[in-house]
Amino acid sequence: MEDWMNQLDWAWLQWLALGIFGFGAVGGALYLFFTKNILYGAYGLLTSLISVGGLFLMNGAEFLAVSQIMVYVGGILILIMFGIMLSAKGEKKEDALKVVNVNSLVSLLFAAVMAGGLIFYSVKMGGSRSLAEPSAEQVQDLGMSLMTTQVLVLELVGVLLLIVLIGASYIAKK
Amino acid sequence: MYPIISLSVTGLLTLFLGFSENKKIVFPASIAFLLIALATAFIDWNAPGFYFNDMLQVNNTSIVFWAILIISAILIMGFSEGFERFEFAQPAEYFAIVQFSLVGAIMMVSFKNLIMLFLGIEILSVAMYVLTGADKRNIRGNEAALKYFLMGAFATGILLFGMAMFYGATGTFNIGSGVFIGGDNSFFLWIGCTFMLIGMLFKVAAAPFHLWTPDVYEGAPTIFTAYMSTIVKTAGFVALFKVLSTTFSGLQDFWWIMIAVLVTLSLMIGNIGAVSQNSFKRLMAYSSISHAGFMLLALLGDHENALGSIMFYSVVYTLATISAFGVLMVVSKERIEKGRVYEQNDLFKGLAQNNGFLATVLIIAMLSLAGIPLTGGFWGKFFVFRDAASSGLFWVIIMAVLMSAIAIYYYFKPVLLSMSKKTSLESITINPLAKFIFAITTFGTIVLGIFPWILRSLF
Repeated sequence: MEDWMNQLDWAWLQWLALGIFGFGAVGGALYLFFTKNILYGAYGLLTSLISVGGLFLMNGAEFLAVSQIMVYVGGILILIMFGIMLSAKGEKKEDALKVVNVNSLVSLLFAAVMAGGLIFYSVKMGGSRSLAEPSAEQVQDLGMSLMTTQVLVLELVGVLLLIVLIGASYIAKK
Repeated sequence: MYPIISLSVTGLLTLFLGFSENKKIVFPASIAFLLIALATAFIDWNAPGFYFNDMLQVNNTSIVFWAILIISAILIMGFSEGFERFEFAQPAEYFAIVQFSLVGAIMMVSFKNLIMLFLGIEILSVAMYVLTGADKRNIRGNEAALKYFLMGAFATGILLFGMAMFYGATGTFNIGSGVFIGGDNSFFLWIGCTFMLIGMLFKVAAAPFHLWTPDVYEGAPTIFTAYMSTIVKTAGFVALFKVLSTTFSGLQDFWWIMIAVLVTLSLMIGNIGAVSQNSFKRLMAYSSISHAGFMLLALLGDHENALGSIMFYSVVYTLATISAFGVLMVVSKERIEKGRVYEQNDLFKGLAQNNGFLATVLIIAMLSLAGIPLTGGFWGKFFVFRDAASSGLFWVIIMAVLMSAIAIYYYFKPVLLSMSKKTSLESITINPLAKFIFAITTFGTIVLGIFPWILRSLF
């Protein structure tokens, strides 16, 4: 009896969290789409990206969740913020960056088609595919394989990043 | 395998050489490093195998391509000797990027795993974006670099999306591991195949993904234009061939029509677009689009021969292109207008009278690109036509022959200009190294035109 109660509570909480993250992901994106203020738009994007990270977490993909937060929120969003801060230098309010939605009908249509396709295929495959059981050693396994079987990938990503660094300093240097 | 290690290490060493007081040491050291890489390539000769859990596949075929890539790089780099120009203000960085970019090219010809293909393409592309904008004070160069970077980044995204779809459908990144065709997942496999093709065809400048080519070729410093049109193309076509002939060979019914349409488009846009160009570099850009079309022809045929044809075509194309851009580099630095080198077609006016050697090099290169017999270009075209004919695609071949006829017209424009009486230039100085490279490329073009089997029998 006690066990069953616990299980029920847990499931209820899980659904709630899933709902909150789902709402955040969709709501943030919609806000970004409709807002006229570019900085608020960036906050909408922030909400959406963090929520997607939360959705990954809820589905047992811890590593994906962490990298989503690190790469998108920690990296790309900060870049966007800096971009806005450095480029909006107007004295008056009108000089600030203006947001104009171009082709909103086409992009909404495209998004609807993409969403329809995704829903169609996830419903179709829902029965045949089950989620992998989340294991506690997932991240450890990933690290181990990156240092053993996939070590060439790791090294060559290093070469790629080195080129990017050299290139950036080469271009930026006078 | 060994050239990848060797070039990564020597690339780092080159950066350290940049700290030394005497910058002149960087050039000979880099050439020596490339020669070391060339030597290490042959360690694996006749010892085929897989490296690092099937990440890379090494056999004699891939070693031949490594050698082609490294030798082309050495020939092109030779032209940077003695240039005291802005693009070589930081020679260490520039030579290091060239060596790292070869790592990417080598991965593209010997990958066995799609992760390796992706990393190879990325390494080569990022290096190209930087080198395109190497001449920072040239506004055209900046524009070209930005255009190339933005479009290239999108192409990379599309390629990656295709690979993800492929992984979703098959559950593996390994190519040639018996892909299951049909069933529920075939839809994703089609998307994967299409998107990966788009991403790779962008890199080799096939129409309709060619829009960046003329601007980027024109804006980039000539030496990197030569690099881009030879090394990226060779590596890109081998990668395309590997993907199509192994993983997607079961989907041939699906992609052959796509390739046939792309051949037609590339040939038409490349050849017709080139006719009205006044800038020599834009002319070469459109010509490179049309040559991408010719090389795609090989993919339509029987896969037994295709790799040999691609190899032969890339070698003759590389030799002729290096000659053509080399002549442009040597001649254009004699005529500066508004602080920039002059790169229009009429730069070559009266070249034959002025400097017979350069004119001969240019004429032979143009004849080879046009595919005139007794030059390598003729046999290159012959082999790809034969491949396409083996699969009975005669409408494509008729198209290709018609377009070759148009090509003769625009390749003869610089040739006829160089024959004219009036010269616009005074004496032209060539340094001995450039002379030596011209001798190699021109001699190679003629030898391959008379004895094509020297190279063809390697496969």
